[in-house]
Amino acid sequence: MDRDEQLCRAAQAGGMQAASELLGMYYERVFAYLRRRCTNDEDAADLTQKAFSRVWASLQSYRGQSSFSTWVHAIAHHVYVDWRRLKQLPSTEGEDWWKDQPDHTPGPFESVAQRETAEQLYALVAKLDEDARDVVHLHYYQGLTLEQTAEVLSVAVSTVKYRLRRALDFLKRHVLNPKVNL
Amino acid sequence: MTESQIETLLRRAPRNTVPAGLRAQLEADIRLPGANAVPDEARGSVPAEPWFNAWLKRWIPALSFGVFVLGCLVVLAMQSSELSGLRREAETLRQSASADPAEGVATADVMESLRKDQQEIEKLRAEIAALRAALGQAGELQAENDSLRDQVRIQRATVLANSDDPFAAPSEKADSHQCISHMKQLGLALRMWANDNRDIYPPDFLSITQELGTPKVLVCPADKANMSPELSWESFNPSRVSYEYFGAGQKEAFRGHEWVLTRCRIHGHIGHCDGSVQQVAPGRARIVSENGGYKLVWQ
Repeated sequence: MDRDEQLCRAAQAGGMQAASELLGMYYERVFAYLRRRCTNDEDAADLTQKAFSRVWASLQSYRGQSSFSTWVHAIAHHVYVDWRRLKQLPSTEGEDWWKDQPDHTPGPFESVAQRETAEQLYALVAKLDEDARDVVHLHYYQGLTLEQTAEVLSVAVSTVKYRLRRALDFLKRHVLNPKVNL
Repeated sequence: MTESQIETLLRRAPRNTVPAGLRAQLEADIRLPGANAVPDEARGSVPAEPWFNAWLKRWIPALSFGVFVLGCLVVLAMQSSELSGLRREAETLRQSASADPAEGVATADVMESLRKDQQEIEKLRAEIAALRAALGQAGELQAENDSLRDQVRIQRATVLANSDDPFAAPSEKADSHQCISHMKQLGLALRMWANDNRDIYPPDFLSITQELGTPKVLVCPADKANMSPELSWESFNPSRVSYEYFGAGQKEAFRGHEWVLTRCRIHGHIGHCDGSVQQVAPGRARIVSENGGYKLVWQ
């Protein structure tokens, strides 16, 4: 039994400490996911709160069939989809979530080149179709495995692979800046 | 740029800084349904809707099935109750029917009445059959009557031929011509009456007294027994008419030369519907009924 599962059992039994620990393990990832998909911090914070409210409300129904991380991501994803549907937003997303991020790369030249390429790449991700964008966010940005991504999106693993292939083809085709050489 | 380089960059995507105070807010929002979750005073603020929703989601299939079964049972009970009520009512009616002798008498009366009606119907049927047979005999009698009349005419002609009176034959011829004249006047009067009465012939000769003027036209000159010089409408008796009438109630517009309107009982002359009169030798033709009218058929 891994740590997530132990904490989850304890929280199901009403352990506030365990619940707090679970929250500490996942709230940053959930916020990061929702912030990338929303246009601002306020909406992302609201959605994070909603996602965790739903986590605690349905914690008793969690049976451990998937990992806790997958389950939390699935809830966060559904909260985001519901929010977008409610607001009747288009399927496009904010493209500048990375602009305010601090630069942690070592050298000045390498840093600038890498940053420009990354910015270009993230901007291209925002231009992907919705299905492909979902898998890129969950698999690459959130670090979920292919199987976990498939579970979150309720699709087959082969579908996730196909969407990733399509996304990578699109990105490779459009990232053609000769100055950048990683 | 290679695929692995792209994947590496995507995996290194930065995470946004979490707003200050979010963790504390999320901690405060933790609501666990377990026993040790929160103190009792704080538990009151937990919204009941999610718990109720979860309970509802879990039990709704069983609940809906239970409601369905319950509904079926209620319907079944109502139908059974209605059925037993009807049975009781039928039993009551049966008992009252057997207990009420007046109703039995009424039924016997009805049956008796029906029996009488049936007997009457049988009688009427027998009468109809008898009348049909009589109708068949009437045709035969008519033919016999015609035959006898022809014989009388033949005998009369023979008597005239053998008579010693040299003026007998011309007198007879004059009577015949006068008879034809009467019949033509009769035909004309009948048609005049029909023209004034929607083209339908009168029911009898007495209806055309206005058109005729004198009743002498209704008597054949050879009919010496009925012909008298002082004959008037006041003293006229229908039994003195020498002519047979065939057009009673018929439609005038549909009758032509082939249809018979009048006939002299003495000479056998035929008056047609078109107003013409024809001398017919005895035994040469006879009158038959056809489509409600009368036609001359040559033999």
